[in-house]
This record gives sequence, structure tokens and C-alpha cells, in this order.
Amino acid sequence: MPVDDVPQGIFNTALNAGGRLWLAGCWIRAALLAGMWITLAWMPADALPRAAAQLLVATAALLLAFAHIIPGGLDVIARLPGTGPLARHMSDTSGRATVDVPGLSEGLGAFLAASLYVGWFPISEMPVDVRSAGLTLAISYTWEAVLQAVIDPGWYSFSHPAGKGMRIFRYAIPLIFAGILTFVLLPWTTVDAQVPLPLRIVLSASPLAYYLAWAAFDVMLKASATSLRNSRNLWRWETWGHAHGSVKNTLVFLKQYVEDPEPDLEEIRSLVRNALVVVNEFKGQLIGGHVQNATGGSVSELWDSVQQALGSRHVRCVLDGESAEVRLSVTDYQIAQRVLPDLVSNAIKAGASSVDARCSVGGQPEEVSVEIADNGAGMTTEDLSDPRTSLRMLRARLTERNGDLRHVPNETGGTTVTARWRASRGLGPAGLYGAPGY
Amino acid sequence: MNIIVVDDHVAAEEIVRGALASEGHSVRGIRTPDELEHIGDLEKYALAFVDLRFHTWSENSGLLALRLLDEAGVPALIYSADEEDNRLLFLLAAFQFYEPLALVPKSASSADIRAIICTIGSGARPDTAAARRYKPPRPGVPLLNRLIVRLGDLPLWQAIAEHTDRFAIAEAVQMSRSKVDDFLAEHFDIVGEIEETFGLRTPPQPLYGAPQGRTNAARSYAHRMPPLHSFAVVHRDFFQDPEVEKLIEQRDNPPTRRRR
Repeated sequence: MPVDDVPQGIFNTALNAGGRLWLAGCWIRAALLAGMWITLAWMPADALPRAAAQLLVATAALLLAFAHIIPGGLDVIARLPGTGPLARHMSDTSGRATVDVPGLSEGLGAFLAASLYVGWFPISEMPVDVRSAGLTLAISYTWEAVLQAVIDPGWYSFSHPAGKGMRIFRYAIPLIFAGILTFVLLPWTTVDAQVPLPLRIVLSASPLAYYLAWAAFDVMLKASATSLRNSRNLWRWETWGHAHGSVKNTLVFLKQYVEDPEPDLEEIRSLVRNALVVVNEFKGQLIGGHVQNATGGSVSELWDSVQQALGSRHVRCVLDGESAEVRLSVTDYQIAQRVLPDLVSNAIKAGASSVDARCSVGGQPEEVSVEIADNGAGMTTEDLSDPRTSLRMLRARLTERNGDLRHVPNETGGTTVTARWRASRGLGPAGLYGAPGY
Repeated sequence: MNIIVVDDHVAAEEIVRGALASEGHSVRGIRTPDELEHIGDLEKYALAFVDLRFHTWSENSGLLALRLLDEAGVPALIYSADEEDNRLLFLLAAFQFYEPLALVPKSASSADIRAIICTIGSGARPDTAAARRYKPPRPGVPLLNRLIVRLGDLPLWQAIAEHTDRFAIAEAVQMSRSKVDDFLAEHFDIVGEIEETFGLRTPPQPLYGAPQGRTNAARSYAHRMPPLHSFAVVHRDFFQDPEVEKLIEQRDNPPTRRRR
């Protein structure tokens, strides 16, 4: 992972912005082109075929530009007869700073459109105001199209950076364009001279505004990419903080039991299962939107984590609907975090192919009850004290919390084990210290 | 004695109980510092074990627990993973403002815990090497006082954790860029001193690439910003903790005592 990933962020931001800017630009050019088509209403009838033909080039080029950005646009081009190479070319040049057919077509179309109003062969019979308006529309159309080239995402490409020649060309674009406009807008004919001089000067100098737009675009890109990077760095540390709070602390406690001069295997077994559940919960919090906070956690989310931790996919494990709605206080949640995997694990060890879980909070004084019913081999009272399971320790822990662990055989085989303990509601006067016994 | 454990892990409470139950102590646990506010008879506890961070379960830190315990006159022990970099400032604040009896690392064995409680029970104050590192020098200026010289430094530290550009920092705290530069210059050495003293493992490289800049002023700024930003990111929770703001406010404006 690169330490400084701002350049990549700049390119990604340019790509994200580029698509939207390109689409917006296409619609702006479409509006400008529509304005130019409207000026045909003031042209003499004999000039209309020529004017329409000239504007059709820009119109076709604009459609190619739309095809570049609209989903499925290139596929439509590819399906037209004889346009396969064009579609491939457009696909290859997408997202790169290079010269392409749509760009050249738009350039040619813009030139032909502008030459309806000024230049060497303008349409002579047209009101001056319409000529000035048409010229402004044509130059604005070209200005917008060239702007897209100046801020094209391809200039910021990380994997295919523009060559040195292209980079120099980028700096020269405004000057070249301003030079071309100045040349074209010279009063070549008496018709040209009808367009007011101030308008011609403003239009000729307008490409210099690209430098401002370019600089502003670069600043926004860099600021956006820097913010993204800073947020990611903060997120990394916050994630580590959460990982430490849940996963590492669990492992630290496990280590203490492991390093005990007389390690208790039951406890270690239980803590390992607990650690696996915690790891899966952490995954749930990171990518699954699981919510744990000062009000506690959801039994449904805990159940998901338990199943993933125990790898119990080959066993039918079901949590009933009402239990899935239960939210436990922080303390009760953590106790359930130990109880559920222990009980489910023991059911699976007993050969169960079906495990049904229930969890409820209620009674007076309030208690949490977790019930696991399985169709396994069944268990005896001695099993609760079997050192090969973690049930003995679990029962001792529940007893400390005014609870117990009971089992009853099911009529159809298997066992139902119920773990109970005094609820601790945590925050609030009716919480832990409001409950009798505390 | 009655002991309360303020730790987001039930396992921490169980470890303390396991270590002390045989000695006749009664151990109860709560998961968040917020819960202390709802305990009516907090005074009945003779001792508290307090964790400093409660990532998942609470927005508050152990500093809130220490304040509430202090107000109730309950002596406290810090029970925290002190090897983590982002605990450092919390530990410095805890030992500067609340003078806890000792620091018990999360890795402490049952025997270690029993020994500390035994010392406290005998009326002595445990002098653990772990705690000694965080106690403010006497005489001398506490490190935290040099890091947060005035209350107004906290928003700056918060902004430096969020941004890497002094324009953005200045905008975020409504301050001139030159004042931001002054702040960076003023705090550069103390951050280095803290990191060196406690052997902090700041990210091996600045979080946002190599310093840049041409002029002397820009180079100074560019060289100071990366390590200070990294430091602020690591300790962001501390700089944002409302308890820290209260502590600094009280430090700078101690309540005046009425003359009788």
C-alpha cells in the first residue's frame, strides 16, 4: 500500500468528476448547437442546405461524444454497420489524454459551424445580431468542447501518464486556440466586419480563461484526494482502536489463562471460541454494519457471529424470530458471547444435526435466558461436570451471577440446555445497580 | 474490601475476581464509565480498577471514570494495556490530574494483582515501574502541560489530526496561517521528546508522503507537519475527549477558595 496515494486519489477523483463533467458538457453543447440550428430561421432559403450540412457535422460529433459517456453508448455504435473500428477506437481512447476521432470531429464540426457566420465563406444575408449570436454560440460550443480536453481525466492517469509532448501540448492548448480564434475572427470580408470588434476581441481571448479553470480544477482534485487520504488514515487508526478493544484484549486475556502455571483447558477452550466469535463480530462491524454501542448488542448479530465462528454450516442452526429482536445490555451481551458458542459447540459435539436457539429477557427480578435445543445424543448430569467440556466453568460463572445451567432431555431425543443469569441493564438507575442482588 | 472494575470486558472483571476472591474481596464490574454516574452508593467501594479506553461500548474514556471516582473519594488503579501508543496521553493525564494508586497492565498475572492489592491493603502505595514512567516530574513541568499549553491548543490538535494542510487547519480553527505555523514550531520539540521518552512507534514514514517545499519557511512547515499530523492522528481520541477539555480548563482556571 503506497504511503502517498494522493496521485492515485487525484486520478480516481478526476475520473469520477470527469464522467459527470463530460455528460454536463455534452448537454451544454447540445443546447448551444440547438441555438445554432435556430439561427437557420434567419438565413435565406438557398443557404439552408449548406448551413444544415455544416451543422450536421457538429451534430454527429456531439452524438459520438454522448456515446462515449452514456451506458451502452459504445455498444450502439458497435452495432451499426461498418462502425466496429470506430467503436474499438473510442473504447481504447476512453480515459486517456490523447487525440481521438470524436474530438477531431467536434473540432471540425465547430469550425464548420463558426464558418457559417464569419471567415472566408460566411452566409452573407443574415441580420447582424443573429450573426453575432450565432458566432457567440459557435465559439462557446468550441470553448466548452476544448475545456473538456483541457481537464480530461487522462491527464491525471496514474497507470498511463501522458507523454512529455502531450503535457507540453496541454499548456499550449489555450494559446493555440486563442491564436486560431484571433486568426479566424479577423475581418476577412465585409460580412465579418459587421460583427462588433469588442465581441471579436472577447471571443478571441476567451481561451485564456482555461488556465483559470484548469488551476481551479487541479486545486479541487488535490484537496479532494488529500481529504480522502486523511479520512482513510484516521479510519485506519479508528479501526485499529476497535480491533484492539475487541480482538486484542480478548487474546490478551486468553494468553493469561494459557500462561497460568496450571492452565484450565476448559476455560481456554471457551476463551478460544469466544475469541473466534469476537473476530467474526469485528468483521460484522466493519463490513456488515453490525451495531454495538453503549446500549448493548443484538442477539441476531451475535448469533450470526457464533455460527461463523463455529463453522456450523453443515448443522441446521436456527434462532427463533422473537429472540432475533432481543437486544442485550453490554454485560449481558458479553456473557451471551461466551454462553452461546459453548452451548452450540457442545450440541454439535454431541452429534446434533439440528440446533434451535432462543434468547429472552424477563421476569422479576429480570433474568436473561439462553436455551439451546438439539437432536444430539443427549447428555447426563455428569456431563455438566465433564472436564472435557467447558460447561463446568460456564455453570460456575453463571452461579456467580445468580444464575445456573440446566438440561432436560427432549421427548424426541437430544437435549435442551438452558443458561440463566441475573440481567444487568447497564446504563440508567434501573440498570445494574438498580437490580436486587447488586 | 469492595472493589469495582470499570472495564468494557467482562473477562477483565472475571480475572480480577478470580485473583482476589480467595482473599475475601468482593468484586463487581461495570462495562462503561457512564454507568458510574448511576451508582447511588459509589462510596461503599474501597477501590476501583479503571480501564482507559472503551472503544466499542462507550464514547467516553477512563478519565470520566477517574473524575467520578475522585469526586466520590474512591481510590483508583489504572487497569490498561499501557504498551499501546494511543494510551499514552490518557495515562499522562490520569497520573497528572488524579494520581491513581498504580498502573496494572492488562497482562498482569493473578499473582501480580494480588500483590498490588495486598500492598494497598497494608496501607502502602504500590510503586510499580510501569506507573513511574507516567508520573509528572517533581519538580518540573509535566509533559502534558507542554503539549497542551492552553485550552485553545485542543482545537488545533483536533484540526491537525484531520488535515495536513495549514490552510485547512487555519480555516478549521479560524486562525491565521502564521499562528498555525507558530503552533507547529512551538510543539514540534515536545512531540519529539514524548515519542523518544516513551519509545513510541509512530508510523515509519509520515502518513502523507515526503515533505516538500522550497523556501526556508515552507521547508520548516513542511518538515514539522508530517510528524505532528501523525502524532495527532494516533492521539485523536484524547484530543477530542471532553474530559480532557474539562481538565485543561480546570488546570488553567483553578477554582478559587474563599477566605474565611
